[in-house]
Amino acid sequence: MTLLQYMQNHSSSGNLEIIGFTGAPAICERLHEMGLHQGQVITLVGRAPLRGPLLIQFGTSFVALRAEEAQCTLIQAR
Amino acid sequence: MHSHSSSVRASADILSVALVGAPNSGKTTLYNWLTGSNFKTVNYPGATVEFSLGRLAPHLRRSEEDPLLVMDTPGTYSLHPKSADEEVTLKALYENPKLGRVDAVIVVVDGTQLSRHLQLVQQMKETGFPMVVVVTMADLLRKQHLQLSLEVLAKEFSCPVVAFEGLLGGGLKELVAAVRSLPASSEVRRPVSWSFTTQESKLKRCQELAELALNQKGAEAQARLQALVQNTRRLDRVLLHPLWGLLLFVFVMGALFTSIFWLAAPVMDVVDAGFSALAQAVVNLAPGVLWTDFLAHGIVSSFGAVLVFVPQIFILFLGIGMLESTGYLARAATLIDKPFSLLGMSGRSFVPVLSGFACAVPAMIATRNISSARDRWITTFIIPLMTCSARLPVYALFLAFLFKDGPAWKAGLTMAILYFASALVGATAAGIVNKFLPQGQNSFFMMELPLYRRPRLQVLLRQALTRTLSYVKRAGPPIFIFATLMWAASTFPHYKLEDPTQKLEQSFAGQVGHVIEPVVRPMGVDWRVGVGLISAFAAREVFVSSLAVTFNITDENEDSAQASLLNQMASAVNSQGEKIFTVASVVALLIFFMIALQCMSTVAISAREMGSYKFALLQLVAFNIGAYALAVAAYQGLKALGLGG
Repeated sequence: MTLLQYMQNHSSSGNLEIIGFTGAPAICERLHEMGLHQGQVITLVGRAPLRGPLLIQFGTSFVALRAEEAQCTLIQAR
Repeated sequence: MHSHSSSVRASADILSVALVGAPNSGKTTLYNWLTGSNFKTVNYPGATVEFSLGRLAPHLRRSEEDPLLVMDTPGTYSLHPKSADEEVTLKALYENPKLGRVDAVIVVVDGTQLSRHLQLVQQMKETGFPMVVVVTMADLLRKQHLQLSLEVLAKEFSCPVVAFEGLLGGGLKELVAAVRSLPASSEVRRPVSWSFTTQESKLKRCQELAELALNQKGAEAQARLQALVQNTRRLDRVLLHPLWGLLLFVFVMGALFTSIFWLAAPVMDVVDAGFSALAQAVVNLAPGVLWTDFLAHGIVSSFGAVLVFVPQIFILFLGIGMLESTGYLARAATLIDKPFSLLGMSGRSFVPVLSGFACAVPAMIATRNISSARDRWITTFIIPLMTCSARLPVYALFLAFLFKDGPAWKAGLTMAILYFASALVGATAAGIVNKFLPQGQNSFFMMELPLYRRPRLQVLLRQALTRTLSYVKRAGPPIFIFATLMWAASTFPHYKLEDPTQKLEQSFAGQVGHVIEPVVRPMGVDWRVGVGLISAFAAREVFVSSLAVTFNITDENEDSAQASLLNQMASAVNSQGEKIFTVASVVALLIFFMIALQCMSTVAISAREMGSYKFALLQLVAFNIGAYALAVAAYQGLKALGLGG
């Protein structure tokens, strides 16, 4: 499932593993450049107000992703 | 962009070196240390959007003639640009307008974000540029008892690796020595795009390297690092909370803009009293003589009328600096992304828009950080509508007039409302443009949220002072020129006339003013204000000094120049004996200044940044016609309600 779908279906935050990327190549490339890759464990911290960007944490990094960017990230719960 | 062309350069010494690194990795801090510059450093990814070039600081030079130049570049996550600022970085390396191609590169990586930032080192290595890797935040790593193995990185990338401490500048000499040791001739290639598989494997290698390099990470160090991360998470739980996050955002912005008025008031009184005393002292030197009249009424009064607002401008810069250095700005951008996206912009537009409240010129340059051309177009279009610091003296004067005998909080609150109103006007303009502009490609936001840092008061004060002084320096020449012109125009040709009103009426300024009076009369003002409005096209602040000259302040019976100007305004009448400054006309003038685009530097930068004079011309015409129409409508409406007398 995508990160966005996970967010919509789960209320609590949890550890997730990135299993792939899908969608616009430019977004996927930038996600890589931000340090996200297959096998990377991330934590979904929450969502900004007004159904704004999703907030994720991995290692010491925090990144905010728009819904369409989260839609490109395929994950599985750990 | 991704061509395989290569070029060879040979010279005896490294003559130029560029700092390249991810946003917020500490490049500008390092650049300041290397060159002895005082560029603003903030805790926000994407703060640098232009390249800067400087000579080495004197203590790092081999000799006085040492030619080594250092270049700071906008932050970039990769050598495949996705926004205008990232394009600037790539061009600065390969086709620099001042250097051609740079000789060498210092790749700056944040020690606390090693695994992510090493990707850029890998890409840079492929290009063949001679390079040194600098690991910043070395002091933070040491504080957290983390030991970094530089050898691991040096071996992997076959280049010198140096640790750098931003607080005290530790590692600076080693870095310069490492740059000088680089081979001066090199074969350089353009960056090549990586396939998905290559990118994946490169990223994984970066992670392995980061773990190897930070192999001394003991249990205590691990715990400290976790505490740092947990602290940021705790703060984000509140600052990005669906309800509290929004309320705090409104509170922070409200506090910033109201404090501009009430915090500055005591200091403004001191400045005002100082200029009044100076003007009186000048008059006393030789009463009734032309040159003392010029100095007192022309120069001292004009500068006093504007410089009295400098404390407010300082507080504005200090407040923005505080938000920048804590790491809150990136959160504010995240909070605002959704509402901004409905107006055709993104959260990345927030910092340029906020900067627009200080000055539209750097704000427009800051839009380079926005990846989508459409978002950037809309953001640049509305920036001149934000209440820049040049409007502050005008607003402050009118609010002081409207709330002359009332408590300071009323003026403060109205000031906050004016700032809010300008944001609302900007949002409306963005909404309209968004509706008519053709849809472009999807923009992306993807904002890195830096770890929170405690701001250092000394640094904040120094930066606010530097920015305020730069404002004064920029405003000074136009004030001087227009003060001289206005004094001469309002004094000659009948300078010997005793009656000041008659003298002004028959002066050159009076004659020009009477010609334009039919245009400004529907706003409820007379030719004297009209002359001020024209002079404001040189710089908005000049409007205040222009009023100070045309209304001939320096009344000996007043405590201060501002009180004198306010009294002159209160009693000023037009040729029909009607009051000029009423609630209706002052509100109309406030609306005019809120919307009108009078700053020619802004017009020039707008044309340069968007690569189109048509764009700048559209702003100029639309905002000035809109401002005039709304001001006239406001005056006529309020007058009909009985507020025009």
